Amino acid sequence: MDESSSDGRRDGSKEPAEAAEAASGLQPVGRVGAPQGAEATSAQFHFWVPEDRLVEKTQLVHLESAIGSDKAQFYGLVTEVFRRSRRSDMLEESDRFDGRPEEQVPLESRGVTYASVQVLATDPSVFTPPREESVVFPAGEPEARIAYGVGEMEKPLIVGLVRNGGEAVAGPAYVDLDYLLGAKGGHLNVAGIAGVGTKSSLLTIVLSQVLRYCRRHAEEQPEDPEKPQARAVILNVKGFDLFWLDRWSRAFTEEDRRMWEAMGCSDVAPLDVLGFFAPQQPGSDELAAPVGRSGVRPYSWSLEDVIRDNLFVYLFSDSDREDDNFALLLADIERLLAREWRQNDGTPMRELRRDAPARTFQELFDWFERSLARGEGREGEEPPRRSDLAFERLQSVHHAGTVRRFYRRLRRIVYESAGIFRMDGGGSHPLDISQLEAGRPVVVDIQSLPDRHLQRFVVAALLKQAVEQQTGAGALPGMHYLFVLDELNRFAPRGHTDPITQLIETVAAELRSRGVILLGAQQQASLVSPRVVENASVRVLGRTGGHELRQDVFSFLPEELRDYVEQLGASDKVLHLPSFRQPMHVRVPRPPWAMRKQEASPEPPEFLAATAAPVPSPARRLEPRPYDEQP
Amino acid sequence: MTEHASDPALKELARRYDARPLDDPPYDPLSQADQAVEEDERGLDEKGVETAYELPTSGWRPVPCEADPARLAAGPIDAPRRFIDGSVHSRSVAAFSVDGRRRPAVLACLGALALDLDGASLVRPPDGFRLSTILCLLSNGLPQEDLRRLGDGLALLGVELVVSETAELVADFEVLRRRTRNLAKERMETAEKEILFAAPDVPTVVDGLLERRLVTVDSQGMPAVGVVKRQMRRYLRDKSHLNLLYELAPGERTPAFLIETEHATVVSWYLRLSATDGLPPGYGIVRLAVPQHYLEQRFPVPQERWAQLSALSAWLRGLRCREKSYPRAGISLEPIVRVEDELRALLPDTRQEAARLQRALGI
Repeated sequence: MDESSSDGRRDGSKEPAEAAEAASGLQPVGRVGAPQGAEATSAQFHFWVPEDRLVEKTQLVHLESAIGSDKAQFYGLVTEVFRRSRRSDMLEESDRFDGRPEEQVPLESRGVTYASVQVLATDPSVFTPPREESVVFPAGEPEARIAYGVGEMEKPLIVGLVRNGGEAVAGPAYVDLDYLLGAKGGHLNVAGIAGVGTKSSLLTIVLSQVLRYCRRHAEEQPEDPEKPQARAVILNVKGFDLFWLDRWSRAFTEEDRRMWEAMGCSDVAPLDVLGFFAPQQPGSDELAAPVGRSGVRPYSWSLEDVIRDNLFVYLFSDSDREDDNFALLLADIERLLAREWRQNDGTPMRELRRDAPARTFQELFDWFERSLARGEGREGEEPPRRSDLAFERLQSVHHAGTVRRFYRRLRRIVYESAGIFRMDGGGSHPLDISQLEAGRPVVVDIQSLPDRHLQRFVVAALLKQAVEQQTGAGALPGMHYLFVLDELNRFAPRGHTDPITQLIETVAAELRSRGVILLGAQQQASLVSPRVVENASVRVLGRTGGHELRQDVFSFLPEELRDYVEQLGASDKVLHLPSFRQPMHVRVPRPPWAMRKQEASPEPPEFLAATAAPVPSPARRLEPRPYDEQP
Repeated sequence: MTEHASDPALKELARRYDARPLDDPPYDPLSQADQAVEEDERGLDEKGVETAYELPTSGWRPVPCEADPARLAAGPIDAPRRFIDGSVHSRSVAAFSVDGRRRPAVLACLGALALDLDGASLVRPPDGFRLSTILCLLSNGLPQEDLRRLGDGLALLGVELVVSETAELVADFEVLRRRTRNLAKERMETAEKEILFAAPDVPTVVDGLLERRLVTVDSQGMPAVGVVKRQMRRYLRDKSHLNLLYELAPGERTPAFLIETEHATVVSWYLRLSATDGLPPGYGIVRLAVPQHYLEQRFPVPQERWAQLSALSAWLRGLRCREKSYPRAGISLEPIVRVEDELRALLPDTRQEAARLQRALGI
């Protein structure tokens, strides 16, 4: 501060920022300016930058400012950097060089570089602007931790590195697990353009980190009766890309490894996948489509399985359900098939009625065909059965057209199911995630199913199991069900009211506290049910188009960051939690596991070969022959 | 002004001298000619002008400064590396009654600042500026004890009392007000001199009358250049010289002439920095001056002397302000404009300071 003598004189012999610089060991990057038109507020301020210092967009900064009679620390995120010359217009800029770029002038321009900052945090917590002329310093990891409230997180989870300018980082990027697994919030939603957004990588990384957290907790506190556990289901929606998560990625580099180390993970490895599942082939125990790897198990449901698991209503699509007549008929038929009761502990149970008109899908179709033929006078010589009487009662209540329509729909669904609905009772392998080993994810393919509705059915079947497990008497304390699901717009589309969409909405809106967690993604969040997107406490943005960013669903994103998000690189994400005043810029590493077949390798990369074990190939039948015996 | 509790003595003095609040009128009632006379009051009497210094008086012609490309590229010897300017913002704040007559008091926020040319950058050196807030008063008829108490009371507010006795206590209030304001101007020049003399060997450009700054014998050898933008005084009385002045093209200068004042003799010349259609022919012309002693010691050979003046002129013209949005761009040097910008950012708001002082006086 300039000395002010008693006669009012001041001279320029003191450097006010020197003391602060000496104390912090850091060189200042500027001072707060608050001229008219660029006033500081409790949410943002500007600071000018000396000519010899570099300040970048997405950089973190901090300062100390007098507030009232006290002081406060401010932590902020640079959202834009401006440069202004002294000229009043472009004509003057040109006049300065007489319109000739090769002209030399004796004095350099000396405009001003200044940055706009959004306040991330203050200490103490105050909602007031910093004072002009406060000295601004670059922030590093300690300041980033304060800025994003890591100290207040009870369960911090590392998901990447905090971006701090163009290339620099400011330590690990933390999210509060309580905002992911249900204590304070739940679910994660990633939006991003296909191929560039790298949504699936992020989802699997977050999943991996959650499972790592659970493992560590179990090791450190084995006696904790409510230690967090997770049963994880990864749904494969594109090619068979996610069927190689248990393999090393050939694209994994030394730099990626260093990033993981900076995240505190020195023991990188492919995911320890419990099992891979894919649709079953009709009439066979084999897979419906070649996966290209071994160890994949088939899945399918019989009519009995569908009734027992209360999935009958999910067989039918939204457009069917909007028809009240159809919906009523569906309910009546289900009543004919299912018997419900409650166990002593209150758990609702269902099974196929012993006197149900059919025990398999084939029998159900036969029943419809026979009954419809009877109704048309084509019944032949056979006497009516009791089930036929049941059909007649149906026909007396429901319009014949509705009944026929139901039959046609059901046949189409089952015949086009490519084997996941078994015509005959035997040989079904219904997916049962309620008994999965916690801590090891399973991968379930749905993309090879020909019909989008069937894909939705499988998702609904799995979610329903989780919901019933977590809301029933058998719910285990600390247990969570995590579902990794891309292309959410297919499964919970905006504006739809079908049971599957409603189920996913219920999970998103009401079941996070019961430990059913969606780790979802889509290209365009505006096409997904708002209840699903907006209930995700952890919102992540990869590179996204400008039109999409202007939708209401991205209202949490400051205007000045929209252009930035449109140009995000593959490894960069913008992440938002309810506890953040502004989104966090995160650099996400490439995962060590393969995200598609082309990059899959059983062997670790060379730079890891010394420390990492190759992935054991599953179902090895023969012992390897010694080298000299190999052909 | 610092926020200290005001001295009750200030209010008492204000009551005793029937102080009344005052502000400056929206127009200046004193004519410009009188302004020039008033400016000379502090002893800048011109003793003589010798127009036959470089060329014979009858042989005056425009001197092109940028005709020699080689010399132009080489630049002047002792090319200036420091630029100094001062600024004073004054405001009438009170009128005291002394011996039955109104006596104006003028508050001024003033400063002086230097910028060093470092390559192509202008950088403020350590100890590179001076700032003051002062209250100016003509002290004729005021007891020393009262002046001392007034000074002490003002000091608590961070204001320095600057007093001087005027030779003739005229009845014209406006003349007195002008003379009081001149005290502030002198203090500003003092601040400029402090900065200038802090580095006497550094070639320096000073905005304003060099002859008012270099008033000691030692200072006559300083490598300083004065640049005067507003021509208040006419040195060229010969009609042909005036015409020549108006006909100068950008980059041309008049021959050098001597101006001898009480304390200094300077070599001076006019240089046209720019010409703008539609503006008077005198606009765009600045008067430059260097100490005669320095010039003749450094360049004993006359031809070298004239070449140096031309090279210096060309070099300074290269620094002309090219921003047409700046009101006085045509007669300004960019480094001096930068000095003005920095001073403006440092000086307090005179209106606010005046209001505080009036509150402290209880008027």
